[in-house]
Amino acid sequence: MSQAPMPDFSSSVKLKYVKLGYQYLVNHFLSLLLIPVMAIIAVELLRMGPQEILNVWNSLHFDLVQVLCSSFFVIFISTVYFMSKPRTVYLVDYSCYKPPVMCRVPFSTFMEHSRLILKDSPKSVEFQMRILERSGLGEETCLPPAIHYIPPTPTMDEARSEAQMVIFTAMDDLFKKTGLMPKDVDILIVNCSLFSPTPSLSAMVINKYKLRSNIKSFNLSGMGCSAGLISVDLARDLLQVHPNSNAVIVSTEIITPNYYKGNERAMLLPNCLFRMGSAAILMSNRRSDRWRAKYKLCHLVRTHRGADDKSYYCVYEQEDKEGKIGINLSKDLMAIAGEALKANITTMGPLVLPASEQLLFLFSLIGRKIFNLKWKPYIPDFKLAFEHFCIHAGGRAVIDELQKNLQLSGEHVEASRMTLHRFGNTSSSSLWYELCYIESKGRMRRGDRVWQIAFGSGFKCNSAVWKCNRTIKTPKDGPWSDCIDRYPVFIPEVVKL
Amino acid sequence: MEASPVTDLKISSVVPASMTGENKPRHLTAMDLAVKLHYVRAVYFFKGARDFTIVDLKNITFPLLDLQCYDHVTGRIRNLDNDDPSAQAIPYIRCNDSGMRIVEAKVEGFTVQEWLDLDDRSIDHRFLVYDQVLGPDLFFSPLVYLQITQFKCGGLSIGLSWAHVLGDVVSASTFMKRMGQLMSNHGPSKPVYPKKPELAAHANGQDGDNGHAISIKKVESVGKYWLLSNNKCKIGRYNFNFSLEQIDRLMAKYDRSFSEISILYALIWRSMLNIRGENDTNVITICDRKTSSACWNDDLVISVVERKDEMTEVSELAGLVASKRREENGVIKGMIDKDRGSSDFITYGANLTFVNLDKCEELEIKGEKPDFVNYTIHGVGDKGVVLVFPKGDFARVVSVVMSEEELAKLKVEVKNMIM
Repeated sequence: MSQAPMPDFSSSVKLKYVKLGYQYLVNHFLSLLLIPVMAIIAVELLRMGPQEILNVWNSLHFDLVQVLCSSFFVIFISTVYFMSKPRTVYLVDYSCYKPPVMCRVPFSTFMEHSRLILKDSPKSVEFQMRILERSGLGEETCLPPAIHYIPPTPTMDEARSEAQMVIFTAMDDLFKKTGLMPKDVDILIVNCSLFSPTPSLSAMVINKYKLRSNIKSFNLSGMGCSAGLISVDLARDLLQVHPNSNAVIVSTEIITPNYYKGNERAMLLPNCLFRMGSAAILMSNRRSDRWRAKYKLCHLVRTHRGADDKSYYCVYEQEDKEGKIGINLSKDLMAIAGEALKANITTMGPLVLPASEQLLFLFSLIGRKIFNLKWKPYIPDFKLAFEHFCIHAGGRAVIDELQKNLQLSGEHVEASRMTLHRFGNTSSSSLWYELCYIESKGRMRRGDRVWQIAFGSGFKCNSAVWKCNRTIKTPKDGPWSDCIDRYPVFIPEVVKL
Repeated sequence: MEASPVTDLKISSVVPASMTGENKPRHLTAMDLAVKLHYVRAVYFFKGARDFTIVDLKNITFPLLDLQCYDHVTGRIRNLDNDDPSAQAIPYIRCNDSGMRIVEAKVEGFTVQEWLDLDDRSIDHRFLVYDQVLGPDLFFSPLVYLQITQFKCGGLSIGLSWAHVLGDVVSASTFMKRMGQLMSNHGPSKPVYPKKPELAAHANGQDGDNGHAISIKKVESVGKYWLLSNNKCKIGRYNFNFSLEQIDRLMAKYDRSFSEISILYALIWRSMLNIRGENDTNVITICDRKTSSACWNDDLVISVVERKDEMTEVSELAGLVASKRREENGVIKGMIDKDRGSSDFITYGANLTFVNLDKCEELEIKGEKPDFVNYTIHGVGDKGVVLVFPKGDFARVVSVVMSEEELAKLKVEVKNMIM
């Protein structure tokens, strides 16, 4: 009886060591190759003796012209290399908005309001209750003040005041943290998908902080929950063109005007999941910021599946039978998200995976396609490429799906799950709350690589890879500072209301 | 005033600032069940523009509700699962942070002074307090409503409707006082928050006494709508104002040896004797309170005073009130425990009930006291309720809740008595 498990254990241990050995061999191939080469040269040198070495040296004729030409050539090549290298873009610091306690919405309050607002559709109330039970949200998520009324009062004024509350607080905090003066901001990008007033939110920021008149400002709207990384991409491209500049990105989603007032079930889901939140990020390409920057942007890959009809229609804003506007989520959302992720990883993989994983993937691909062997498609182990993962907290199902697809452990997805629990789905800013969680837990060390994955309507999958520039001390203030000790919490499958 | 002068009603919920957690149950004691069909209502008036706004008041409720002693204020009624499906379910409060309702309203046609100058004080409770009832959706009915009404002059009124199961009138006034203290931020050196009372299933260690309590009355089962159905008569409210001189004269006329309260009680009792006849007014109930700061009903002292047929003079009645009270708390407890939730009871209005509100705490917001406070109890029995509370420094208000017919006769009687 006790004998039977032993061979399994020892064989799995053996397998582990084989795997480790293989990875070490392939990933450090060149350095391993260098050792025998250096050994051979050393043996040769020892064999030749000092006199012979001097003879070899003297036999090389050094003409002045030759020397000058070769040195110019070397300098020329290195100049071209350094000039054409893309500018390194750094993330200096970022700040996440912490909603005040006055906006807190416990489960029971949310359900009670739903019962009162939807009193003519008890089935819809039941549906919402079941969603909330399984949502993975906690009791401290926040909704803007207008939504606390029965019925909600989503006027344009209220939407603007929510925008001012979340954006200005985050920006004040960012300016304080980084010591940035408002007049020094060169590029401003604001992304908010569902609220786009005139003048734009970026104009609102410029007006409030009296930013420069030659500022390059952009306002991205309608791009869904992945707009945060689209803004980062835009900032990166702009920082290639403008030397010695910085960029401020504000990622948010304004909930007030988008509360669905109808009772169509597929459109009630966003009401249950979307919550208040925002983040302000400072990026820079200045050399002086190199020392204080938190992260360096390594890669950013954007994948758009809009060409496929099913993907295009899966998150669709429309009017229901009664003319009330809401966002319709199709039932195939998870499958489409999985496909979009696969497309994204196909591009991302070669950029970040170590050689060992890429070789294995190549062999598995060759085996399946060329030799038609019945192998399962090899899923590269991304845990070798990254220390931390920030998966957009779009909902419990999204995190579960990605955890399964990428074979991640509970600790890897902890940041995402806990952000969903504490703040709900804050749309494009959720990635920053998750990053802040990892920092608050004191897990971010210099050299750690972080992978941020965001999904959005369209259907888009965008991912960014950051490398930690300096070990980050646990922040003393921030959205997590008062509750980080309570986390991680165990989130049951179904919460009994 | 027939039509409501109140406009622009906006209803929202406020919740505790931090998570209470675990949906803890708060069991209802026998005293809680004795008063479950009653609602405490209080209206506070502030004339003219003040240092605080509706938004300030709303914001301060979040830390107020966060206090541990008020966990049950934001909970909801639930029924204990009974093994026996035929037995009546026993209600309890589930502390699940559902919150309290706040109603924002406007009265454009009056300033606070103009409103207070009107004769009919029942308008305070008809329009400036939300008409709260637990039910018909009992499990999702808020236990407290706070209506903040803005008047033409910039002044405002705060109308509290508080389910009596949470605590008595004094508890409600303490709740408001804490709110005022939190607004000022530096109240008395360190505000002493009411401790959470230790409620065990059989509270206070002693079991109830055997016997029949006459201070409470069994009523028809109300099911999930916790309000006494008063089909027989329309309930009205009237405030008798007694100035210092009038009280002095009364004391001189009847008997100086008794307290003001006893004389006032006796005065009303005698008037009701004249109206209802001798048989119907043999017993009165007196509600008092032990001095404590806990937010619950178990510190209520409910006593009865029985009158022998010959005693009809005010001074004799005052004497009974002063010294011949019989406390019924133990008997009430015994009766309700034995009942095991199969019937419903009322306390206020089972007999002519007198409530002394001297122990009510004063509200003070940023150093400013309200210009007038009007207390009442909603959902009372048809024998009527008389609340006595101070007005200003020395005057008194005797607020009577009774059927309109009897109220009309009472006004005449009292006028005669004071002459």
